[in-house]
This record gives sequence, structure tokens and C-alpha cells, in this order.
Amino acid sequence: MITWGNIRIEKAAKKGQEEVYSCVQCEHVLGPTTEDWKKYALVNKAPLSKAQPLHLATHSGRFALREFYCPNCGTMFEVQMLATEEPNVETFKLL
Amino acid sequence: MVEKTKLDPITFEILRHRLEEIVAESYYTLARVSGNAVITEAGDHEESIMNAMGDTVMVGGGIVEWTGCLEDAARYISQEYEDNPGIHEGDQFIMNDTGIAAVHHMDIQVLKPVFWEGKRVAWLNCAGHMMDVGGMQESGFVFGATERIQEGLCMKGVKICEKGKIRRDIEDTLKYMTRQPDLFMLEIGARIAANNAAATRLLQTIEEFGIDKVLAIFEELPEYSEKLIRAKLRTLPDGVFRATHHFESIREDEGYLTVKCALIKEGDSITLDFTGSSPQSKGSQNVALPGARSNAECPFLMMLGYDIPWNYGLWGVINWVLPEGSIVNPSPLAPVSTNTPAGAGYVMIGTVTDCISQMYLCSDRTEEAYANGGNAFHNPNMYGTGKRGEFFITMMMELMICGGGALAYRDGDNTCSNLWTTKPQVTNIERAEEHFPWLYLWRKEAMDTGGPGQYRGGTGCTNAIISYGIGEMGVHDMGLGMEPRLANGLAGGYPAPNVKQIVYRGANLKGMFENGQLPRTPDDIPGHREVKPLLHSFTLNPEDAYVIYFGGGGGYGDPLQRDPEAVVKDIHQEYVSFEEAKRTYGVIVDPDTQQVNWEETRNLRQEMIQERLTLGKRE
Ligand SMILES: [Zn+2]
Repeated sequence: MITWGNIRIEKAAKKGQEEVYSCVQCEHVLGPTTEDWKKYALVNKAPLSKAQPLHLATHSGRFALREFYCPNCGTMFEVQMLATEEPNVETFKLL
Repeated sequence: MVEKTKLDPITFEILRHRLEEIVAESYYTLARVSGNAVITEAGDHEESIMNAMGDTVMVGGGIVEWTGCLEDAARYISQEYEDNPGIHEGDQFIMNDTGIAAVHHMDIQVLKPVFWEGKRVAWLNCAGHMMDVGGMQESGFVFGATERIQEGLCMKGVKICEKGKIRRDIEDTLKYMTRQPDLFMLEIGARIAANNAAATRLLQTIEEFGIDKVLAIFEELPEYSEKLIRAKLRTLPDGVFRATHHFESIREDEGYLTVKCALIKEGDSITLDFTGSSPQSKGSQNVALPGARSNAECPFLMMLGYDIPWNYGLWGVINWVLPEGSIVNPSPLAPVSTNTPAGAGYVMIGTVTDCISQMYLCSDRTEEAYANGGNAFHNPNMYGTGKRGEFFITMMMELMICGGGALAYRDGDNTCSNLWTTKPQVTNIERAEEHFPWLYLWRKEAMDTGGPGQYRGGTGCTNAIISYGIGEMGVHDMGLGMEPRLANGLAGGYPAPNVKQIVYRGANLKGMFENGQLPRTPDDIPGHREVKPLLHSFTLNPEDAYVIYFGGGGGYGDPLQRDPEAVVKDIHQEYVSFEEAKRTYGVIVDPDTQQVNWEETRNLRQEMIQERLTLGKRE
């Protein structure tokens, strides 16, 4: 069983089944591992001032914190600082 | 054909340790002879032994960013200068060309060939940062450069020593081209001394064990390292692991710059592919090829090679994709002086750290993964006319400590080491005040600077200074992460907060001191508050105060899964404020009892989860 943080890779139990990503916390099945798991997660673009003291934050619209979390239980899977409009980065893909 | 010597395991280990001791002696010789605070106080140097062709067989601790490129200098001199000017016993060569071997041109390498019975058998390299190398800008970090030639001194392996003596013509030339000529030559002398000490030990070793055995360890050690790293890679999952880091450009017309890394791991092979990184910048944050490889190798050595001897056999397994014309492989004319620590070279370290951590997280060795630390930072270089009327320039050594990234099972270390040094040092305050014309108001761990997560990133440091005993002081700030948040979190952890620097104009703290008061926080400092952008120069007057927040480490995992008791402990230790405990961790702490209010915490966390589910969208 492979996990990456709160994401689990579930191997196919029998022939004809798919290998899927699921949530470690609630076991919700996210979707087949043929796609990036981020496609199955909920996404929120939060301002850079989130999760830091305001006296240190610089306010700018160029970047955002991209939060990816479980659509069932809300567990945070990954937070990335990216330019506001750029495509997602596929953090890991096992071969 | 001569039969090769095969070392027995005991002799192999004895010789391996002997080589380690030789580079260590070189390291400590430089540290003791040097008069440059960056060397003596911050340990900004590294030493190595190479074989006769220039391939590294042993490196000492020090600045890991340089490990990979020390051999590039010896290889270049071996290939180019064998006939003219020739490589002879008693020679030493000076090298700082970023196109050949240096990460930035302030890192001056001095190389010595070692001879046995008239034949070259080894090279030694002693490399360290210099505070001034001429050019347009004090410190060598040239914000205004648009061409590499503007950045200052460039030596391509010039013979500085001949028959054991420093050449007067070269000495006079170097002194003319730098702003601290006497210190500069002391530093060259210190490198020559370190190489001589190492050469003496190496020759004693050859005498003791015989040349065949020493040449055998030169060959067998890299083979051994390659065998070990390939075996380790085979135990890790095959996959593609990616990271993208954006950072501020010196050039306003460029906005921001990007380093993208993909680590492709298949079997025992590893490729680092930087396709998609920004095109070459017009400013000096590009990194030339030797520095690019050497920077990117830094997390590879520290995270995958920490238990394997460091030599070309270890890093030789990496395959590279560094697109030509990009910020990580620019044209030979492109300026590169600020690539580390405030440019593409340094940011490469962060991206490769992320990729290796992603790979470890998918393996059964999750404890080896960690979030980014030290990627958002400050490195103010201070200069002016010193207390004795001399030109002085130095850097604020707090660069060397940062909040460490959180791990998959514990918090990151507070104000600890960067990934790019094995021997982190930061000047003690008394020594700093003795060396430099400033006084500290404080240096301490800064509240709320660790990236939030189930495991918190290590807190960064803050300090505040006023100049002392001099007039104006120039500040040439190197730093990244005032707008982007560069110390990434991992697996649901948040990046560390932004860094910041503030000048309080006309703070005039003398009056406070006379009344026996000392400011303890920025709120205690009077004066006009100016937040200073990074990558700019400004002046500090005697009546001003200067406050800096250095960077913290990224967090690991969902902060709403952090044990509320751990948050309370953080509050007690002033690592986290009541406000952030509530706002980010969803933990309500009673200010009177300083204990968790469990019911309110449970409710708040549920509300925060509900808010996530309401705000979140599917892409
Ligand atoms: Zn879930």
C-alpha cells in the first residue's frame, strides 16, 4: 500500500478493476490513477496572506495558495504557491 | 599491462578516512589563516581532493552548493593549460569563472597540483567566498549588470604561484582590481596555505602506504559511491516528481522568474529536467551551467547521498536536462552574479528538495522527506567607511540559519541549518559587534514564522540593528520571498510566511538607551517606518534602526490535524501567537489558563472544514 501524505494509492484487488487514489482519512475514492489526483480534489485559491501573520504578508494578486482537499471530509492534501492562473503541477506520478 | 592494485577492505577504510582528514585539515587551515568574517564566522568555504585528471575523490564539509563544481576547475586547467603555461610542482592556480567552475564569481578557488616522483598524481582545491571582487558593485552581487563582464574579476585558472612563490605581477593585478586589496591577498594566501597543508598530508600518506594504494583509493572510492547510490535508487519508487518555484526578478520589466524541475527516477537512474524554467533573464539571477548542476546536486547529496562518500561517482549518476537559453543555462555573456543566494541557482535547490521529498513520501522511507527550509531569506551586505576610516564590507551572517522544513513525523528545527551547508555557523553577537560597525537590539526566533501544518515548519530568526561608530552604512540586500512564499509546505502543509525588512528612519534610540530602556519588539521602535523591497540598495543613517525577518521552514500535513496540545506548547514558547493558533490551526486557547478549550476548538475546526467544502471547486 503506497500513501503520499493523506492520499493512498489502492492497487486493483482483482482483474478488471482499476488502481485508484483514495483519501487516507475517510477512505473516499478519488478516482483512477491514470489521471492526476488533483482532478478529483476540491480546489481553492486562497490569498497569500492566508496562514501567516498579516504584518509579514505582502498583498499581491500575482500568486495564490492553491489548496487541494478531499471533497468528502475536507482533509488538506496539498498547498502550493503558484501564479494565479497557471495550470496545476502534477506533484507525483508513479511509473 | 600493469596489474591494478585492489585494496583490501581494511586498507580501503583507513585510506578513505585519511582522505577525509586531509580535506578537514585544509578546511580548518583556511578557517584559521583567513581574516574574512564570512570564512571565519560563517564557514562559507569548501575543500576537495581530485585525481590527476581533476575528478573529485573526496570533499570536506562546508558549502554543499559548491561540491559538484570544484572538479570543473581542475578538469579545465588539466585540459587547457598542460602545455601553456604548463602545470608544475610548486604551482597554484586561481579560478572564479562562473562559465567554467564557480557558482558565483565571489567564490574564489585556488588549486594546487600534487606531484610524486615528478608525476602529477592529484589536485587540491580550496574555495571560499570573498566579500569584494571589484566590478560595478561592492559585494559582487551586481543588481545592475546586463552582461557578465560587468560583474567583476574573472580568473580562468591563472597561475598565482610558481615554484612555491606568489607571482608579483598577478598579485599586483589582483590588488588593483578589488576594493579590499590587502584582505583579498590575505585570503589568497590562506587558500595557498590550506592547499600546502593538505599536500603535505597527502604526500605523507603516499610515503606511508605507497603510491599504488593511494591511486587505488582514488579509483575505488568513486566506484564504491556509485554502487551505493544505484543500490539506494533501486529501493525507491519509479516515478516523475515535479516542483515549480516562482521568485521575484531584479528587473521590474520581468515581474517574476520561474524554476521548474522534474525528477524522473527509473530503476537506478535519475534525471533532473528543468524544462519549462524561465528564459534567460536580462538581470543577474541566471545561473551558468557549472553552478546550475552544482546547486541542483546539493539536495541530492544531502537527502540521498548523506551516508555515501561524496565524489564524482556519486553525482555522476545524474542525467541532466538544462535547456539552452534558459535561466538555468544562459548564454556565456549573461550576468549571473546574484544566482545564489537570490536567484535561479538557489531556487533550484528548493525545487530539487521538493522533488526528492515527493519521491520519499511515495516510498516506505517517509521519514526522509521534508518540506522546504531556507528558501525565503535575507542576506544584507553592509558596506561603508569603517571605524578606522577603512573601506569595509561584510554580510549579515544570519543567512546561515533558517527555519527547517517540517518532516512527515515531527516539526522542523527552529533557526537551524540550510540544506546547502554541512557546518552551519552564525556569528555570536559579541563577535559580530566587535567585527562590524553595528549593535544588535535583538536576535531571536520570530513568532509565527514557521509554515503551518500538522507538523510545523521551524521558526525563522529576526534581528534588529543600529549602526555604531560610523556615518552612513550602505545596505545591499540579497533576499527572496517577500512576495512569493518560497519555503513550500509538503503534503498539505503551508509554505512559511514571507520575509520582510523594515527601516525605522530617525528612530534615535540613544535617548532610550540613556533612560535604561531597550526596544524588544518593532512596536517599541519610534521613527518613520519604511518597508524596504528585496534586491535593492539603500542607506542606513546613524539614527536609523533596521529590523529583519529571515525565513522559516514549510509545514507538513493539514494544520487542522495538528495536536491542539502542540499548538499550546508553541504558544508557551512564543513560536505561535494566539491569533494564528485560532486563524490557522483552529485551536482556541484560553488566555487566562493558557489551556485548550476543547469544545470551542472542535466546533471551530468543524466550521473551518465546512468552509473548505463550501469554497472548494472541482477543476
Ligand atoms: Zn477524505
